[in-house]
Amino acid sequence: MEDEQMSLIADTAMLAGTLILENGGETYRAEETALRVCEAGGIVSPEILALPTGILLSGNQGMRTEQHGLMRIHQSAVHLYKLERTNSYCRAYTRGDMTVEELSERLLALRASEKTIPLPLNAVLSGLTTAAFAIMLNGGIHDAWMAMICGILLALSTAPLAKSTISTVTVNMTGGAVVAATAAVLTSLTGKGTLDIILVSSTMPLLPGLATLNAVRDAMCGDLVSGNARLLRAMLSALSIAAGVGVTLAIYVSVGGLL
Amino acid sequence: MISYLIWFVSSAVGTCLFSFMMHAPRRAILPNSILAGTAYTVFMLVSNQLHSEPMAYFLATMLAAVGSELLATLGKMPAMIFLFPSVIPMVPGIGIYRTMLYLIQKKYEAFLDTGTQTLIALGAMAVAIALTNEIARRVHSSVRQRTQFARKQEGEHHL
Repeated sequence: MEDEQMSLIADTAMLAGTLILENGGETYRAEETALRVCEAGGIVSPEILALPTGILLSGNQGMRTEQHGLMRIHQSAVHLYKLERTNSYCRAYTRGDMTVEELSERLLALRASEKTIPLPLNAVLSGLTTAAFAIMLNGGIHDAWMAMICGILLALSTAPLAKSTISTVTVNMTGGAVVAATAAVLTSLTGKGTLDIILVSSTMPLLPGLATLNAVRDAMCGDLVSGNARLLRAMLSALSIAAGVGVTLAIYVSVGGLL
Repeated sequence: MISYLIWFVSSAVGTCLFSFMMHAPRRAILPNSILAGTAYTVFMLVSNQLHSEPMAYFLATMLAAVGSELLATLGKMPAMIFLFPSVIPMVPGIGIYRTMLYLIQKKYEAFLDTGTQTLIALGAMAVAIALTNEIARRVHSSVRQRTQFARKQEGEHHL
């Protein structure tokens, strides 16, 4: 019974850390949350190592049993709601308002819940976002509506791909290519709008700005492995977007388009 | 003046919509948008007045981070719920993208130039966030200690 209880606490602590990492939280926060759950559960001298691709845990129960654990992580997009819920459940547990069984149940349910935005709404949101960013980047009204069309097409082309098992590199390349092709066709047909502003503002939902910032933050906190790995991931996704855009623009120029 | 208003409104609206895509909790969306708009306006103001981009990144991110910490304390939510969306307008995702595009287009000088600028911007932002976080943690822990101390005294008093 005691052993089972302890391994449940260890598993739950790892689950909490996993949820934070999967949904875009910082590494130090994942470690801290898992550590607090362990300490509240009575695991002696817990050690946690969180990496972008997995989380490791070890600790003692009393003088004997050692708890070891490992969980593999596949990071998806930033999901602030899940981060907020994980945090408040873990707080409730450390305050003693929740049993470990309850915490484990809730975290598992949270991890399994797939609260995705329906595709039409996602497309509209993406379009309006890119239009707002086009204005923000000193674009005119023509840039805004063209960016909106690009943003809508971007969501329509990447959202179904992102759900499947296709790698993010392919998804980003497709997104970049779709945006570049749309922007090139629209600007050359109407003769209005600035290609650069439209391209930059409509790739904004894909760009790994926040991911890079988190990578630098991780490195500054001393989580050097995480920082490096996250930086690599961010660079890779930026490179794949740029590749999609670059190839499309090269084709556009070779058929006689003007940049 | 008008252009600052446009920057404020467009970045606030953009962040509001982006918050939905990041699945932000409902009650965080409005404060986030206002914070993001303010931070971006400050960013543009500082970079136009002082002509120093790293300074603008640092000060504007500092503002966003302090605002996020305050909102986090008020709303009893972790600060990142507010911080992530509120830096979205100024985070140099565009810089990273341009850097990579120049690399592909073999414009190596522009690649190095943009890459360095982006790295400095990211560094300035990260330092601002780390600094604010450090201070906020100190304040939180001292407040917690004080309340625990007060509770203890109260308990003794009751005994």
